[in-house]
Amino acid sequence: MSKGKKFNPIKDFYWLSLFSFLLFILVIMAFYKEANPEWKKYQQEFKSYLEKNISAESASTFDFSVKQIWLPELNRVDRCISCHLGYDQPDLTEAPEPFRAHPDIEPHSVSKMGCTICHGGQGFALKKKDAHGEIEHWEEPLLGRKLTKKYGIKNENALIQINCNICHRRDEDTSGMEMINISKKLLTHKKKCQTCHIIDGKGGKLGADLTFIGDKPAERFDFSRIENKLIQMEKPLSMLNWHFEHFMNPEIVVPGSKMPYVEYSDEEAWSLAMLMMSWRNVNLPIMLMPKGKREEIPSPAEEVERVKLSLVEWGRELFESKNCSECHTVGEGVEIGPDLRGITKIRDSLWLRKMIIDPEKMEEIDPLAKKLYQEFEEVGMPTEELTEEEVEAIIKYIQSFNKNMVHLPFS
Amino acid sequence: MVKEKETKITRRFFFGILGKVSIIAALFVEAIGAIRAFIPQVLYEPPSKFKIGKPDDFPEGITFLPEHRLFIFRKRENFHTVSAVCTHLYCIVDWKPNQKEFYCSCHGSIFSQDGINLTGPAPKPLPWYPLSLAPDGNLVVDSNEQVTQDYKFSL
Amino acid sequence: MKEKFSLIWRNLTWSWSPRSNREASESVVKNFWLHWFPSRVSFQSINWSYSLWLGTIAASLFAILTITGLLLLYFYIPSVQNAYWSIKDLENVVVFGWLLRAQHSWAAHLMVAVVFFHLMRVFFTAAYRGQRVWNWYIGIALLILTLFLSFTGYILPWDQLAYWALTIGTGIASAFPFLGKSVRFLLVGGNVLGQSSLLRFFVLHNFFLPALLLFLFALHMWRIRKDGGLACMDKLVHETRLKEIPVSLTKTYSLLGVTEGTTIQVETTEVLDEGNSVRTSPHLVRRIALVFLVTTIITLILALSFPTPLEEPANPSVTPIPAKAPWYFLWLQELIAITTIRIGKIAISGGLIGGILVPGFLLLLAIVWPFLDKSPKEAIGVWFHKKRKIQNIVFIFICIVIIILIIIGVYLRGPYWNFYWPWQPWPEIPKTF
Repeated sequence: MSKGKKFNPIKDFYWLSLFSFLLFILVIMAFYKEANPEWKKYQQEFKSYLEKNISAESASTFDFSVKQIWLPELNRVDRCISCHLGYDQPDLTEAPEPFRAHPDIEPHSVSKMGCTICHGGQGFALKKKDAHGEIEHWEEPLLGRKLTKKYGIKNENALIQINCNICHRRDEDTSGMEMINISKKLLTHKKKCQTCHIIDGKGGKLGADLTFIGDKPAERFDFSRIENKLIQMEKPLSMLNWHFEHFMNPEIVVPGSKMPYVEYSDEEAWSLAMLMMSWRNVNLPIMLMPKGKREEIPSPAEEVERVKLSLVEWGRELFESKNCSECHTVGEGVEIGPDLRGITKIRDSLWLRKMIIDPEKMEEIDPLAKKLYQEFEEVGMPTEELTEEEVEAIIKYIQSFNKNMVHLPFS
Repeated sequence: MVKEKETKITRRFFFGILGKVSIIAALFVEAIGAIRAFIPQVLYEPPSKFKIGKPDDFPEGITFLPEHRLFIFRKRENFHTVSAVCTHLYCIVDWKPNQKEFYCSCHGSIFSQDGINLTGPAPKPLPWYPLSLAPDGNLVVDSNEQVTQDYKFSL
Repeated sequence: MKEKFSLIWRNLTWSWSPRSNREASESVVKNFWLHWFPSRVSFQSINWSYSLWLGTIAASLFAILTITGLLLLYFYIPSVQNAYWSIKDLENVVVFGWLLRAQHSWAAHLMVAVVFFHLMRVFFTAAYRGQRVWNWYIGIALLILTLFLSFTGYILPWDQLAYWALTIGTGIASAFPFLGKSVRFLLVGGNVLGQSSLLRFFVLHNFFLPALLLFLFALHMWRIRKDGGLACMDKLVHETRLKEIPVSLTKTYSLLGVTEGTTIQVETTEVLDEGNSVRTSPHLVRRIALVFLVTTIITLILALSFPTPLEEPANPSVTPIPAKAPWYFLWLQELIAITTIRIGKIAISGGLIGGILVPGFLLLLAIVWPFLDKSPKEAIGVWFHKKRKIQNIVFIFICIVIIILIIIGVYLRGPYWNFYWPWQPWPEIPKTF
């Protein structure tokens, strides 16, 4: 057998040289790819928008970098703000997307809650498609208008309310969650769901436990009876569609189901389906728990002001209705009785209260009252029926004139 | 004697140089890439320029923000900040209201109310950082810059 | 200038330049290349078409995996809560993280394929005969290590693929008779897959398996030297012996001059001369560099062109539909699915038959084959020698069966492991939205 051709190294040499050059080109390509990420284009656009429409100063202080909101309590990181750059600048409410300012969502806040906990999507990602969850292997797409339109739900802002209700589940009625409120109303009027389903630990066992039904994986739902219908109508085989179909017609979806047929409107059925999707077990840090419906508790200063104000009003009303104003003025000189301005500073408070409650008795036993009786031409002060609160109110009314007064010595 | 073959750029010479330069350049660029990978693009930390809340959230006097290691001083509409990080070896100092001084528990440095290092191993006073107002009404502290002790931010 | 460069080059490749014959012979020990490689290699050994340089390609891929792997180690977090997050961060925010990950993944897939092709080449050239059987065994061990390294590697992202692959893998381990359950308990670090499993596989993938592989690789190289080089050298030696060219009487390479006779290693060095060989440095070294370079380029092109897959975060309550192993294990998965035997009331699990017995049988076959091979010595170091026809056919048959099973697994199996022709659409899998 032949020993093989004589070895010629020159080819190796040329190949080595060419491939080295190719490696260099590829490495430069890798650098180029890394140096031009998608988000940089958006940030460049934003900077020029700031320059043209806001101020040169705000544009010059803008730095190109990945921006994120890290929420260790919620175990997430949201990088949406790397493109949605105007979220916290109120003068950008009219800016084009994605630069528009976030509408006021008090008491929620973007910096404390991030974005994805309400909107869905993939917080980690820095490419538009990935971030909006429009990719394989991410189960939480953006719950926005696009998805809502795909499902044919009329209310544009419907789907995001699913995530609202994950936290606001215990509210009876929440403003801003109009779509979910529909189903909650249906639930409270028709508590019959618990006849067959366990919800929050109470209920029957004929149907599934619904307490955290939103966490049930989509693969576990039985689509066999609605598969063809959905495929024909080009609707996705999704958990949301399953719930919708199930509410619209339980017997068709689950054969032998004892769930009564209720003629829901489309809107009601969507609302109920969304409600089911929102019942999920989520670890909520206490600081993010909704405060629930309570009377707005005023601050101490406000409370005092409020109380004082109403007493004064009441006092004035009483002053007129109980005929004190027949004989007394407050700060307009002597009438039949003394001018009451500053009276609380001149007279002892207990004496004053006794005088208002039972002046006739005081005129009999109290020396000062007797003296005044004499002074004022023996016209006595009639006794009116007054409760203690009413007395306080009158005193407060009189006191309200004190502000403008210079302090007089006790006489 | 000058050998002509040495000065002529042969095909072999060209490819030789091309190969060697390309490889060295590629390796050099790759090394830069490898080093660059270690410089983080995002930090799981509070940013160095951060919002601390609305001015009305702060009472008169001194407030400590533990997550930012910062003392906020308020006198009516005037604000200033004093860093709580000891300039010796970066422990967190405690405010002693009776003595009106900052005490560092690590090595015993004591700072005045204005952050001036009075005693102990701390070499410099506690830094003051400037404040500004963000468009949404929150106060913003910029810990990248330092200001002098006569600084105050007024609303 | 030219002299300066060649001076630097010589200083890099030679520890020092020998000034006497004695120093020249000492340089064999002190120079890395001469220590690893012989000073001359035959034309056929260095030829592209003999070995296809598959071994070198595999070693280059391992080097690429080690370098990218060490860099990735700085960013990966081996905790059940954070593993997936750290992979997402590598893809999105670590500068060149996506490239490191993509290159690592591609190099891993290629290495499994190349190592298997290398085995095929060694078989077809009967390079496992005679004293080379030990290197054959080391090679089998390296193949198994490569598969384990790949397996432990894709567990680390802790996504759906990882979690369920681990479930099935440890399930196969538990099907082993007697020891199975204990082995599974140790691998999992308990009964339920969780943090302890991840950590154990992390340490296996990053330390013990690569260390073992490196050690065996060094042994594999040493055996090549001891066996006198690649198998094509046997022919050269044989021809030289036929020509009755005497071996040098002054060279014995024996131990303290005590032993007699000579070894194949000595004979091969005697046989090589200007007419049938080249110097290792620079020719072999240049070729090795070229192979490493081209391998790097291929992994780089693949990394730049295709995104690295990642599934949903691991969800212990949902098995993905379908749940498929990576391609190199799909033949096993196919076997496991179809080899459950039921005779009356007795059922033997496919996990035992397809997962342990069949691969075990193949392994046994690989171990005894060198002794079953009775072909003459002329067949060694030659591709498809006619005296090895039957063996080659049997081997090719086994390889084709495995490849067919892989193809079935990749393209013809759908949800619930049902059979679907390529033109038949798979049923839609329900999603959340």
